[in-house]
Amino acid sequence: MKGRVTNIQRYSLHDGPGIRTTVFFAGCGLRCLWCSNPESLRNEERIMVFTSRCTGCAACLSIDTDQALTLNGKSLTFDPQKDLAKFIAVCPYKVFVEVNEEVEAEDVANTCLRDRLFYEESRGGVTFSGGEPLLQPEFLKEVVQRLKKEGIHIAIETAGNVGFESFEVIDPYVDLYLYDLKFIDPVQHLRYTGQNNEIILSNLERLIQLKKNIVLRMVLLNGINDTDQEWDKRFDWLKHHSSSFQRIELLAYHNFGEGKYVALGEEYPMKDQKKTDEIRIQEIKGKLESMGFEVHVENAF
Amino acid sequence: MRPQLTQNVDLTTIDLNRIDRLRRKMLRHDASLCSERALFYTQSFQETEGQAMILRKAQAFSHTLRHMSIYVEEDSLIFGNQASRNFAAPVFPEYSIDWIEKEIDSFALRQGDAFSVDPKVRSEILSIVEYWKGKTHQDEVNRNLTEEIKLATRQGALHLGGISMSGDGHLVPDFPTVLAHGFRSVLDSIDETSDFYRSVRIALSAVLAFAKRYAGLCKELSDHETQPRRKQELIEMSERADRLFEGPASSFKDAVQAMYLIHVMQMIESNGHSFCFGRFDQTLYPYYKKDMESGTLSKEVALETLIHFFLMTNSLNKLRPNAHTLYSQGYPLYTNLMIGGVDEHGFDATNDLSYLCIEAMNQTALNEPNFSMRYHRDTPDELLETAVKLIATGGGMPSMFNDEVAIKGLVDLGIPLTEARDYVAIGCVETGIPGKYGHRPTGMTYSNWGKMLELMLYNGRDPQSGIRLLKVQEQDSDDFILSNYDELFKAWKNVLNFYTNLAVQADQICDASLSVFDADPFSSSMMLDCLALGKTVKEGGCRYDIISQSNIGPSVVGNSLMVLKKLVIEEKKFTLDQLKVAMEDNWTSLESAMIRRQVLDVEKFGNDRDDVDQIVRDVFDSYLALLPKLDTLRKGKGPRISAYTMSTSNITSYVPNGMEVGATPDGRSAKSPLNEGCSPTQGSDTNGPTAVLLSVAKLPNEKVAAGQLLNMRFSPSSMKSPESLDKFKALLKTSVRLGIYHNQFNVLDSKVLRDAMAHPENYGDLMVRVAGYCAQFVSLMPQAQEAILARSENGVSV
Repeated sequence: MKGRVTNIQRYSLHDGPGIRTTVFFAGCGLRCLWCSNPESLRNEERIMVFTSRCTGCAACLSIDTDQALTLNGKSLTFDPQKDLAKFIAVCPYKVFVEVNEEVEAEDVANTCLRDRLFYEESRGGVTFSGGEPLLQPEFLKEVVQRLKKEGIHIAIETAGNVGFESFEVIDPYVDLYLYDLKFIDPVQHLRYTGQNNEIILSNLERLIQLKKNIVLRMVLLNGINDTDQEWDKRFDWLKHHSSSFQRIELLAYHNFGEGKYVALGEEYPMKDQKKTDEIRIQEIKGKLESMGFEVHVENAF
Repeated sequence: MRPQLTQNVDLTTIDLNRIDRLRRKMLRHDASLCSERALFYTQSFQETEGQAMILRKAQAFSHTLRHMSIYVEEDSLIFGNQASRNFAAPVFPEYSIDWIEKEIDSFALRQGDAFSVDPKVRSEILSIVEYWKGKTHQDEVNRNLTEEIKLATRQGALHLGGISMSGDGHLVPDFPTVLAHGFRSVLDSIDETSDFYRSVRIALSAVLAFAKRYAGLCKELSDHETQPRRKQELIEMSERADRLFEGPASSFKDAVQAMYLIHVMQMIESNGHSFCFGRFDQTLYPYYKKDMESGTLSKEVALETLIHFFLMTNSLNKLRPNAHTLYSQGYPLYTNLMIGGVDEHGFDATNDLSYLCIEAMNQTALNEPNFSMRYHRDTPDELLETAVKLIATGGGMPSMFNDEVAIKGLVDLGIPLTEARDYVAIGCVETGIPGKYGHRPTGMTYSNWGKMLELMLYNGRDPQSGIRLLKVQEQDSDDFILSNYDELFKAWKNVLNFYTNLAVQADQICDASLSVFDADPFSSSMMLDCLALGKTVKEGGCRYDIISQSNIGPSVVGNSLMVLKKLVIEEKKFTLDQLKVAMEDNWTSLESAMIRRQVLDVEKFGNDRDDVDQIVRDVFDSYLALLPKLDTLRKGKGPRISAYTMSTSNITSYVPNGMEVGATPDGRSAKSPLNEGCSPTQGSDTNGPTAVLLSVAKLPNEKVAAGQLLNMRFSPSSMKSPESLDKFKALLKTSVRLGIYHNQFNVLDSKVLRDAMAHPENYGDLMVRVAGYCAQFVSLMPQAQEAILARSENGVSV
């Protein structure tokens, strides 16, 4: 069976325990403004334009029949609404790159199996992320079935914005959920991610009820979701779940994805956004620890 | 003081200020030239005309040791100097003199590896040039080089490096025996029945006298010393010097001092480099243990002694010709010092000193010694973890050696298992047996495989020089007819065979001359089986005579063959001639750039792709197949085993070798570097370190018995947190299981990260790993890159 994958990244260090391979799936129901993988948001091929590779040879211009491009010396600009795929074949410098190809589940699994000695030695495995891996549940299932037959540890990084039946399709094969929580406050959730958080929270609570292994992940952005209003609600919700999670991971916001927005011809929604400062992070961490949680802070730096 | 890496030792009780002063002195790198040795050798040679070379060398060595300036470094607990001041290089006229005369006024002007030359030193050195003209090792080699070899070097296919104009070095003395007996008893038992034994006698007498000179000097300095602690130290050092080498080393400190002074004297006798310390933690452990048990030593004092020792190894120097500095940048001496590994029974031999050495290297943080570690499946986790923490500080040390592969490689050559288990790295990655290997295991003649590939594609004629030494196919033109892959690979094997034979010829010419000019009675007296056989190492006195050339660029060759196979032969995307046009154009025109793009898209070695990895393996095998029929000069003359093996330990020579090769079918641009060791071509490994290791694991690593060099780059962000370090440890452990021979890890500093921003095309391998994020460093926006850089420059974890 085929599915769309943005990337298969080996030697991932921050996507679960041990050395892992992370498979980034294409397609997501959310539109979080700080998303660092914008190319993964749609389950379709995307063209990314890396203008820094341009040498100004103008080979593309010769087939640019509907003025998709402008070239000033080596300075290339492009209209993302127009067809850019045709330039892939003519550019000698790979300025135009296609992502989110369709791939066979068998091939994905085989690639993931290649690092199995490393998984064994480090107690690692394979993590499915993206995008939202649960939006292609049958494809995902075929991949993880194959991996599970070989005894590989499986982690799913999900925002939970799917029907629970999608979880049920793959849950028999899952060892760990890395669950992303964006907001408790439903209004803020809608505002910053484009969806409300009802099913996200109910899915999470069902997983907890079923006693699944869960790591709760929360990105922290300065002035957006690290406020007292939001965290009062979170502490409130969490105090009922002090033994529900293996641990909580606080992820500092970073802007490493910005380059990809530019390559997609999109506006980066979080320009000048800062991560939560160290003192506030430690404050939140301290409070969570006093509630009985094991807390881990992930700084991108 | 750097943050401590080891536990159970209290650094605060050590005089760290003094260590800091000593370190700064060694860091300053004011390299200069010293004329003393040159003058003494010339004087002595003038008085020994007509005698056998070995006797002349012994007497000159003796004359030098007895009269050269000696000093004691103000802040050091260790005495011994190679030249008249710190970081000065002596001159060794008997090996070569022409280039010194030619370049003496440009040494100070070099961009890298510069040496200042005092006017007095300058005139002294020039005054002796005339005496040596035509009478040096280099002259002898040049007289004997065949026209064919000379043409091959002009093509750039072969290079005669140090072996043609310098001493060979690359020795690890039998330290355990030397420390256990000293030299007096050896001296007393020598029967002067030959030039060799007479020379050894002369040399060892001088060695004992040299030590005594320091005894006198230290005593004198102590008489004038007002600071009580230093006064006491100097008195101790004087007494130590007095008894040094007279009998067994009587303490840990004596043993350390003895090793250092031996090292200095070896580097006065010969201008070879890679005089190494062997299995340092094993050699010194009996002395450490005895002193600890008797209460005369503490861990802290032992560590202090080791730090001083490590720092002092940075005070020696070697002068190289301008051209050679490209091959070995940074005044390297490759003084390898190794810890860890199994004992002769195969059990882990880690001890306290293994840990203390890591800490000493941590506090030293300089280029020397060349710190390396052996490891295996049962290496204690704590030792591995401590080593990983040192690697994470940058500096690339220790480099890691896999016992299982290294030992197997040596056993397959015929070395008994118990001896093979004692192996060490000699120089950079060159594997041998301490006390029993008498020649550089790697880097006799340098073979430029990138050039050989190029020559093949032009039917044997070098496009640059126009020189042709063989025709690959029948036609006279430069055309190469590419019909099928079998024929292509056969052609490669032909070219390789031809130049390998030339290289062996060159090796033998150099070796023949070295056996005269590199006569080393002092060093040889410490090597098995020289005293028993009555020969120097180069005459056949060493037990194991196993050498290899330096083979440069296997990944470039493999990647190129893959392109020819896939795009030209199988898919017929373009012809070889069209490809050659694009290569000659260095991929510049639009057409050429399009061809290059297709070529770059073909799988490259280092990405765990079986097809291209198999081809690189075939390239290795094509060379290995040639080895059984190659002979060394010393076969049948004394060594128990004489053989050629393989090595990819070629230091930085992949850079200048690349300069001689035009663009290659793998997409590499003209004159750019070939690949380092067996590593993927720089930047072409884009699937992460597990893929690199899996690719390298497919190579016949245990047959590359003189060392398979792998260099990997890590961004600081992948090594900083405790969890990341744990994962890195797991990477190392998996490497053992995969049969990876060697690995050196360069954790990049901000300078390199800056280069990555400027030249992203060379840094495809650089990864940033962040939770839930996928990309390469080079696709980051400049501001993000700047931020990472700023963090790393401030020493904050990146």
